[in-house]
Amino acid sequence: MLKNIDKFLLEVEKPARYTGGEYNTPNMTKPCSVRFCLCFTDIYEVGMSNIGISILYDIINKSENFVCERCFAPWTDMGNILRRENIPLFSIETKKPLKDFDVVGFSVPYEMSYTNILYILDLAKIPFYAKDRDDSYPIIVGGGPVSANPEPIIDFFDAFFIGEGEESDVKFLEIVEKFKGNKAKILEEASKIEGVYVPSMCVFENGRTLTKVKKATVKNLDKAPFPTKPLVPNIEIVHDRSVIELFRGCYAGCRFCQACFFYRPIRYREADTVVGLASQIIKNTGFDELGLSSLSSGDYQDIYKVIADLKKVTEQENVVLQLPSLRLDSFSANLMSSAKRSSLTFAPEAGTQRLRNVINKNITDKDIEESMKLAFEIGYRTVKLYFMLGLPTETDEDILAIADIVRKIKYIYKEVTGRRDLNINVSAAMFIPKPVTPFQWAEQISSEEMYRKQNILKKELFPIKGVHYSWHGAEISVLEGIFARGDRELSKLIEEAYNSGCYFDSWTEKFDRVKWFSAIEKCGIDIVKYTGGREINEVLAWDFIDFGVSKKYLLAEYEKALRGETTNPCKQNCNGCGANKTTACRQFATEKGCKEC
Amino acid sequence: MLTIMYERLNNGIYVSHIDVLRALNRTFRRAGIEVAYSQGFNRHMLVNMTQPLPFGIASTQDWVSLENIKRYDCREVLEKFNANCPDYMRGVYCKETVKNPSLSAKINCCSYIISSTNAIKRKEEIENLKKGLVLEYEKKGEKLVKDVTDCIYDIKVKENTIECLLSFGVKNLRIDLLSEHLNKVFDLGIKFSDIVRNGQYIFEDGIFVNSKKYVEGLE
Repeated sequence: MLKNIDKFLLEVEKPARYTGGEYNTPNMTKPCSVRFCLCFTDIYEVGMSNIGISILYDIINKSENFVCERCFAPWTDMGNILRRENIPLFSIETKKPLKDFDVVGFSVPYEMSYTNILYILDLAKIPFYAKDRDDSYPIIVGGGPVSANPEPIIDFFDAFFIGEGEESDVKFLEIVEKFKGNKAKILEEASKIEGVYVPSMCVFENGRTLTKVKKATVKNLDKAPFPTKPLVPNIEIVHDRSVIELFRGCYAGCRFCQACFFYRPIRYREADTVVGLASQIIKNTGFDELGLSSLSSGDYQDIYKVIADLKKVTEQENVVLQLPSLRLDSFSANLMSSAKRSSLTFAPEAGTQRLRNVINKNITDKDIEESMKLAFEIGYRTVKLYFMLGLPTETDEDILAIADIVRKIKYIYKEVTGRRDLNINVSAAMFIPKPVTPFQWAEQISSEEMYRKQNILKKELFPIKGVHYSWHGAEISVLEGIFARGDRELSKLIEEAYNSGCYFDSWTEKFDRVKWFSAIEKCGIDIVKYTGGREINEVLAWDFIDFGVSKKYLLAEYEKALRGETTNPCKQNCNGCGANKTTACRQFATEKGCKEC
Repeated sequence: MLTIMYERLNNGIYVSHIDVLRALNRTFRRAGIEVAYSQGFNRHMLVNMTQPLPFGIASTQDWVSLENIKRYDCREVLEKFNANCPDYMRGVYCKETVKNPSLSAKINCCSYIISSTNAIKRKEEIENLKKGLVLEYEKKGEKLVKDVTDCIYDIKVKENTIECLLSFGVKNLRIDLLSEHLNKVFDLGIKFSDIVRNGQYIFEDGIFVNSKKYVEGLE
């Protein structure tokens, strides 16, 4: 245990990031057979807002024989001190160096945090590559949303958890307990667990993993553990509130959305379970806000009942109930009046009906107009609109139509309220084709084309008063696109970029475009190979993963997209995506669930 | 009103004033102590804290007053507070008063203990600071010069400590500025974590009354 870090803490910004001692911290001194350190590849405030971290931390610490500690990527000031003082990176709870743990696990939330894996390993004095680590080093495992395609970073890991880790993590630690000290045996046994990808146990030929790995899926979400005593941070974090997860999966089927297809099948917590958990969490944490977490909370089957019941609890406890990410078509006056009226967020994603059909965003101009009218009638004054640029088949007319929507919303506001003080925040992300989506074969536009499209919209929105326009960087979108559909060849690029000083790349002020593109050049990476369109019969880097949703279904959806045809949300009827092969899908059009169940 | 005196030690020195306020709100909610709320758009718990401590400095005497909507036994409040507060905090005293004691407005002087083994060698010079001290410091990039002699009520050097009584509030001498001056002039190597605020006082009619004694005397 490190004793000498206290004297440096006042040199850094927000030292409480590194001190631990949060309310509800479990007993870290209990006798245990396996010590696990759960790392997050971003700073404390971001990681502590991550529901996955909270769930895994709770599950492992509730196990009799295991202890789970945390480590977040230290901000640059702390990183510099650790280097200067030659102090190895340590866990928050007991200040134990990472290299003294039995297992170090990384939760990797997005592609642009890949260099932070190396940053953490570097500070922990652990070799980057699995092949360079003998039994004296901890077993390094990974997981998180990027497990849809872990190939670009797989060389750094001994094993990777594909899908949801609630069940597979504990099974893995039981194997570590049984064969402690014998890494080869542990990995051999771990490869038999559903959802655990052990690259050293897989056949790898012609740049592709051939051994099939099945994504782990929680079968019964209603019975799945959820932390009722989450840690209460000592400093303000990004989502400083209690959170309750309503359901996993999404009914909508937007063709660009990875989460929608990756987290299928649809599984939900019963309304009574949600309310019961929420009451306990509020009591045990004292947070003054409660948030509902799901991909589309408005689509939850018992949303009115849950909100009515939660309101009783929250009003009694003087807690504010927050509703996140409401889809436009699930919008209703009842829901809106249940929440505090600050600003309203909608994501039409595309400017024209044609393009919305291509991406299967099942909302019409009429839906937008009616919803906005309703929103303004009950008092909303600020609207946030999310769009995407660079979508497949997009033309300049589609971009110009975004400005038409904005103008129309301003007009409706004037009609309804007689005022002109509406604030509209327009945000345009760049489309990035992601694995496990119907657009996994699509082409990503070049950074030059991204700039051109952004400028068209910028020019069009500029004269409209009360509009604030923000957009996602072109170069960072290209990099994200490279890694999203990348393969093992990219590990050398990540290493080269890190060695040249790239880390915390998802932070605008830290992203260094020049260093990244010179690393790409130095490594001889062909950008178009990764961002270009893919042949239908091509073996994709993530094809070895059985996601539940079949490739055949994704392809059919892609072809429908190109024809401009839509698919009904699976709320209305089962579309036969295949996600219900092993786990029942609870689309609630019928009592029995999907037609294939 | 319930007025609670609490300590803020250990990792509490790394927690900012606003985060301590947040922690107190959460403590009361977890403890089930029913506190009144404001009735505005952003409703908040009606609690008052005394003035903030510079970041990195511990305190054995901090105060929070809350407008309770239910009557409580003070011993029960302390028990609930201590069972539900973060590790770095500990409630040590509680008093129910008819009116808000408005401690943040009344407290105008604080005592500090600074651990320093070297100070004893420069005892006379340090103790003479109360006879005249002009500080030069930077604030928001601007260089300032301020005569703070009348902000030092007392300063004594003991075997391993410096004990001082400084004005606080409107006429304020920040302990971090004084310790930086001590380091600069006397090379004492004081770190913020060597400093503890051990008392808050109300200076009235030429007498220093400890805030605890003041609260004890309230109805």
